[in-house]
Amino acid sequence: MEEAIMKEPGGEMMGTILKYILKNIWEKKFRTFLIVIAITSSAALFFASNAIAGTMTVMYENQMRMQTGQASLLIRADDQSPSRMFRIAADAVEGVALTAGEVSMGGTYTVPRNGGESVHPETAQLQIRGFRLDDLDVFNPVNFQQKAVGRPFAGNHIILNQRFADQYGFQTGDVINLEIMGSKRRLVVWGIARPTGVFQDSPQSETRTAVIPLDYASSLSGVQGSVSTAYVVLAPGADETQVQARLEAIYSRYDVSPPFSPEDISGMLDTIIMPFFLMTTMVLFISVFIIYSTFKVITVERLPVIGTFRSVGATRKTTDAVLLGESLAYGVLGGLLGLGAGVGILYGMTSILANDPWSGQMDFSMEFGPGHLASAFILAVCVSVISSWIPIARVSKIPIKELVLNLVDNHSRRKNWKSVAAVSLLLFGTLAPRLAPHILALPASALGIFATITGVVMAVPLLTSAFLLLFGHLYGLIFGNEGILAVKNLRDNKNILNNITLLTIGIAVLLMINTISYSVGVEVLNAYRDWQFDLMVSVAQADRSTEQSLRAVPGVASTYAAREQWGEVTVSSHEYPLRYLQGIDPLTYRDFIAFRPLNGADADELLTKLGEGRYIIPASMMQKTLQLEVGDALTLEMPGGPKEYQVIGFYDSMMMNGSNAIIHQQYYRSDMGNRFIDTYFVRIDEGAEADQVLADIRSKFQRRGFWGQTNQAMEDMNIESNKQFFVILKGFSILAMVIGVFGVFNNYVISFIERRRSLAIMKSVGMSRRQVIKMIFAEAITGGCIAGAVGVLGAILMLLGVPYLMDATNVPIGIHFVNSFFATAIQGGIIIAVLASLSPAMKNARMNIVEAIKYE
Amino acid sequence: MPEAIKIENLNKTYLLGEVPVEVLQNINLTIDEGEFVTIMGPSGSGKSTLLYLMGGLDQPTSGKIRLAGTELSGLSDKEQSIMRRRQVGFVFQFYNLVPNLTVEDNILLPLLLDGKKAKEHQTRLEEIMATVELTDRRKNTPRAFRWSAATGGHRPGTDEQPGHYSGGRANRQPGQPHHGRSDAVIGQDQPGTGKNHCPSESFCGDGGLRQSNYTGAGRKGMG
Repeated sequence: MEEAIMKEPGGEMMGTILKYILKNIWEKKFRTFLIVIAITSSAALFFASNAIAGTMTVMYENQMRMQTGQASLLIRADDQSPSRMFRIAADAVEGVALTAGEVSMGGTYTVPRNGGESVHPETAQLQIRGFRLDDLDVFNPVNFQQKAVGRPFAGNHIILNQRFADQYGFQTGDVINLEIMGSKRRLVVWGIARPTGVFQDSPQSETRTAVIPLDYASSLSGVQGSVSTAYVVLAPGADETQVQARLEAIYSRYDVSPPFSPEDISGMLDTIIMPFFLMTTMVLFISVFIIYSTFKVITVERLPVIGTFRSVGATRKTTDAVLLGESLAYGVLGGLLGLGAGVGILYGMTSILANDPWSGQMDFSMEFGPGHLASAFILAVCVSVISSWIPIARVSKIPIKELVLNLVDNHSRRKNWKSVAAVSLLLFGTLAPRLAPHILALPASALGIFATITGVVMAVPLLTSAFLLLFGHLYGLIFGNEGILAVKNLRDNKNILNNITLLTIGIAVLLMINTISYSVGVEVLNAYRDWQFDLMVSVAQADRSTEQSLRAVPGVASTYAAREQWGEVTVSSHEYPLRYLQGIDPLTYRDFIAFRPLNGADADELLTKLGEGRYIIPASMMQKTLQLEVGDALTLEMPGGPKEYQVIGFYDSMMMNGSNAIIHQQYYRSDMGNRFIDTYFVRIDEGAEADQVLADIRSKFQRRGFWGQTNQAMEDMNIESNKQFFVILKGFSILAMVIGVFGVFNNYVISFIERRRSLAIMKSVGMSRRQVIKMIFAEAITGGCIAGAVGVLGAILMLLGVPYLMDATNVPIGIHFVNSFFATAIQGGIIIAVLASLSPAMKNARMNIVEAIKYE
Repeated sequence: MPEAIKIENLNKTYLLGEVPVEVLQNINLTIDEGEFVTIMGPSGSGKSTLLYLMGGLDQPTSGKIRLAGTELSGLSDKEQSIMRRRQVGFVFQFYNLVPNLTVEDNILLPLLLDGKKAKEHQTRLEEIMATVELTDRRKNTPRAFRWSAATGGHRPGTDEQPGHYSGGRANRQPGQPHHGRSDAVIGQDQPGTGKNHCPSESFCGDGGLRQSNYTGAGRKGMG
């Protein structure tokens, strides 16, 4: 007998179980829909977050490869090179299929104007690059819109960018007069190229690329036989590292390196991808909760059936298999749908991110493989099975007698350990990010946020009781005795607690994302407000005389010569890559940039002290990251060799996400070995138009490698760029909320099914329809209020941890709370709860008392 | 003697799928005030259905029911609800209590629904709880009734000791919803049978019912 009970289910039994599972799934359509949508969303977001890394990598690689094509290595001059130009070695190098040279120079096209000469005639800048067309065909083919027929690309031929040709009306065969290297040149348009490959220009640049034959470019620049860059295409099967070593031996005083490293791209993508994974985890959290709570209901519903199965000889394993089989079926179904939805989400995310305001519209194709699909599918199945396991295991332990006699107590008792766990998690969530050493800051702050939301979720019963204790008496005053009954119903009602929990998670996540999005916007605005000038311009090889000319442009009020280094300075004493170093003039710096020293230091004193030696003022973020104190020494690797600077204070600046520092211009010039001015900050006259002044400056310096932008334009691009990113994150959080809302609707339906008998009893002793609706309405409002309030609390607690997470990812932002968001969240909670209870309330108000009581 | 309940040509037909089942056919009955009436019959003969109809819990297919002179079929939902809360007490065949409400709340429920303040009815509440011997369990909820009744008070899967009341004690409560009414009709569906066994003579016996009906005339016990 014992043996028979322990025997595994045979084929027929399995068939019966399978039929039973499918029947359950089919009969409970809304429940199936809810579980499947939760699993589908989790799988889809996981798939999209996972695959976006690969897709974006390829997208950025393609973007970077636009200029370098199939070239695996570039040979260029660096600081140690004797000259900007070099000759390509005549001898073949093993593993090299092609070494293509380039000579480039600037050119100016003066737009012919009717109506006589103008002081500043309209001009257009060209980046003229000399290539052999055969070489380009191999490593970066030109996509021609028009092309000369029957004539080789040689001599004074030029290939124009399509945008340039369209703008100024050039066709193949036309003559174009350009000013190159100070001389007027007459060239013939040999072809018009579409803006891809070497012809793809930055959207910020007004300079367009044109290609001329390499020999002609060499002769124009007087460097016959030499090139400024060489593009190396490897032979099939050649090892890049070995070839690089061979080339380094040949071009020993030049830089031989790949066009970009995978680290460059992964560094760039980390800040984009990590938040997606964070949001996916939040959605996963909601899904797990929904599946767990739904399976609690499923197992309770199935108790009599499980009892019957067990009493006729089914083992615990068999009954577990019935329930797990159902869970597995949901997982498989959700997983498969999740893959489809994931591809759609990935497409949406990619197409949004491909339109980068900084890089322009990037070409994209979704990059994912069987690994991505398999991992998302496995996740879906695991989420379903693991989330349902606890309720299934609980049922599995119930003795047959209790199952058959229906003695199982379904009422959830208040568990004290949950309150203790909630408080512990909240404490951990608060303290971990604050106390963790810098090296553990990222995991500690991420764990802290999850501990916080988990703690809040576990504290929902406790907080609900506290809320009812505080405000319960108000319900009697507002809703009368029906309000008092509503409060009594809310206490310890597991379905209502589940509703509050689901709404809490949804509201907290949505609030968190919205607040972060708003805060980033505020921080960007604040960062640009620190720039108390109107234009930023740069001119090649600028010096004091350039500044004089700049000041003479109408509308320019004052200028500041900024000496700055973006990247490439390493703080070797702390192995820290300093991303932005300024050599400032203390006398005028504060007229152009807001300077806020920390710890109450006097701004003037601090800046004056900078000039007294090799002193440095790092930004606050750098102070946090490197745990710096005043008096510490930083060794900066500079062109003039390693230099030791002493920290004399810190300042508040978010430039380059806080990785920046200032030194005095005098030491900057000597240590950086840079006698030219990098950038000018320009303040314009009151009433002057920034765009007009910029146009005038451009027209004056157009022949001198000019670049300029208004602060407003840069701010707009930054905001636009952040907006795209947050559109996706908000999409994630809205999805989390939608799943939560579905869960709430389902829970309300379940709740009223379970309470049908209670409500019938109430009706039997005289509760009218109106009173039923009034009581349920009061319950819904209260549930919504509690969910909104606890959601707000959860969001605030998580948001307090967010700056630590952002600091750890080197994207420091301050959190700016918005009261109206909180008010909206509470209103939203109430509206969802009321809407969700509307239909079951109406149904229950009209129920037949006898049916509800007698045929339970 | 005035008529407490008058039934004329009462019919009740249920649909069993698509097959109509005539449960009650042409019932005529008059119960006067102060009468104690027992309805007996084999299982499925329609005793409970008749009680539900007389208690205003269900609607007849045809015929008339007059309760204290009021025709039930002509009442709105609100009027029927008021009638149920003020004039009818009902003891169901199975334990039908609101599980999340305490003993006190369950007893006071009709008063609360009638917009009365619980504080103003404390004396009567104490009397009733003393009558049904539940004063010491006034703050308990009926959630543990089933396991308590079946396991002698031990809660399955827990170490909890018996403390809540038994099934029998639980069942004393539904008899109380008529409290505070001067002319209540009390319906008991199969008292002393099945799960609805009567724990004590003091509660279920004729004397007990009459005692719980406290003073005054015009209360009916049926079952």
